[in-house]
Amino acid sequence: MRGVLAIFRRELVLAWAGGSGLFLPAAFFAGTIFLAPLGVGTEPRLLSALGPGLIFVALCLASLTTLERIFQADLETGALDHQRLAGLSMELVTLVKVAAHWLVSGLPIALLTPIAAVMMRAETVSAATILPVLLGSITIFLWGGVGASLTAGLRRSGPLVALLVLPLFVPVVIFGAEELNHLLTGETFGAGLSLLAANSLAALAISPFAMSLALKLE
Amino acid sequence: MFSTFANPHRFMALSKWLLPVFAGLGIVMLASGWVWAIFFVPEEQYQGATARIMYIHVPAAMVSMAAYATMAVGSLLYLTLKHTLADVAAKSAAPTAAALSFICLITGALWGRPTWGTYWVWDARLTSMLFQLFLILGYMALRSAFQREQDAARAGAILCLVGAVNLPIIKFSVDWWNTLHQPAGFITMSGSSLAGEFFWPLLYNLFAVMFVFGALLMAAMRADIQNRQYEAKLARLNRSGS
Repeated sequence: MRGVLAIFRRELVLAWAGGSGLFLPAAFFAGTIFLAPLGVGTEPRLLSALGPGLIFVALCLASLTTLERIFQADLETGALDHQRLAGLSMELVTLVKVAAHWLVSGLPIALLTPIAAVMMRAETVSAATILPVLLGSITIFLWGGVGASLTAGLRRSGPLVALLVLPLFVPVVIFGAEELNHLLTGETFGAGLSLLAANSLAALAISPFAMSLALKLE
Repeated sequence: MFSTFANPHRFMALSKWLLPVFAGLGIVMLASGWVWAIFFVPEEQYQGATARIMYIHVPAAMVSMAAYATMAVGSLLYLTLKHTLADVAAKSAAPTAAALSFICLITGALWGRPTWGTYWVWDARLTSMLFQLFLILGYMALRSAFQREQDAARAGAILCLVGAVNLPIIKFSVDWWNTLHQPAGFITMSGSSLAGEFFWPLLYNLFAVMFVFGALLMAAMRADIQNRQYEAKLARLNRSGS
């Protein structure tokens, strides 16, 4: 357990030391949202109708921008082999790496959601607005981690990863956008939130095994 | 039972005569099935001759799902039993699965134009099929990105199984989304349900496409195995020559 915690800390330190790259997905997310009104116009009703869906599409795309970082460098330098040789469970190691990655890339996006919702002229914005994106981003980053682990040994895997994981994002976009739409129009939580949570749990149960199996490639 | 047929030599011996049988049956049944569907099946009450697209569309949809299931079973057996033939089966089923999904989408679009008034409706089943096609294309793209066959096999198998687990969730979510956003205003086939005069030619065409899939699968598997044997032989010759 101590080893796993050390890896978690190491990932965070590395992300922090990486400098501006830390906020790249969040900046990408914000940029996508800010571009939308320039394309579709500033009509408030149109924007508030588009908002929830757009926020989730932007979340999916933003998550793709830094996927390569999760495993690629560690595989190339042999850090992953060291961690395996140290007797750590690779399921846990991969999960911790994705968790750290989510903390620095996914969580900022979720925290940006209220701002994005205001800019998309949503009616009611509250702290609860964060919740669907928070739950959805967990699933997205876990499946993204699976895609990253499958392509970690490949060069220039960016477009390939996108093709692999985008179909897996479908349920998140559907449940998430629906739930966010609920919240932004002043309704209470609906079935979408439970389904989002169930989906995250399913991803949490399956993805560590897929990731650890995939990283035995080399 | 698996190990009996898992032997590549036994597979090659068996498929040597099974392949022509499947191919012959597939071609004859497909040709006669289309003739039956186009010229002899009575016109559908509401859609007229347009409903005849069903005899291509439905078998393509069903067999493409069966082909994806083939890939998933092959991937599972490969990951658990490490048997190369299972991987060869999964790999060989992929192009046909993609082609059948594509045929299903195209015929669905062509069918949608006269009945729904548009080429594309975000119908739940069409949408799920679209994402199945993306999963298969992703599988093929991932495999082709690897240099070594074992790497491609393992990565492909993991992706295929993750996709197989997700496909029902995708299907469920798309159904859920569809009922929320789309009032069921368009005409469905259930308008007439399927009377016997439509059912039997459909079943016949379904079996025709299944035989075609079986033949294509075996042909692709045989080609792949022969390719491996050839490369192994080449490597042996190179070693002894140098």
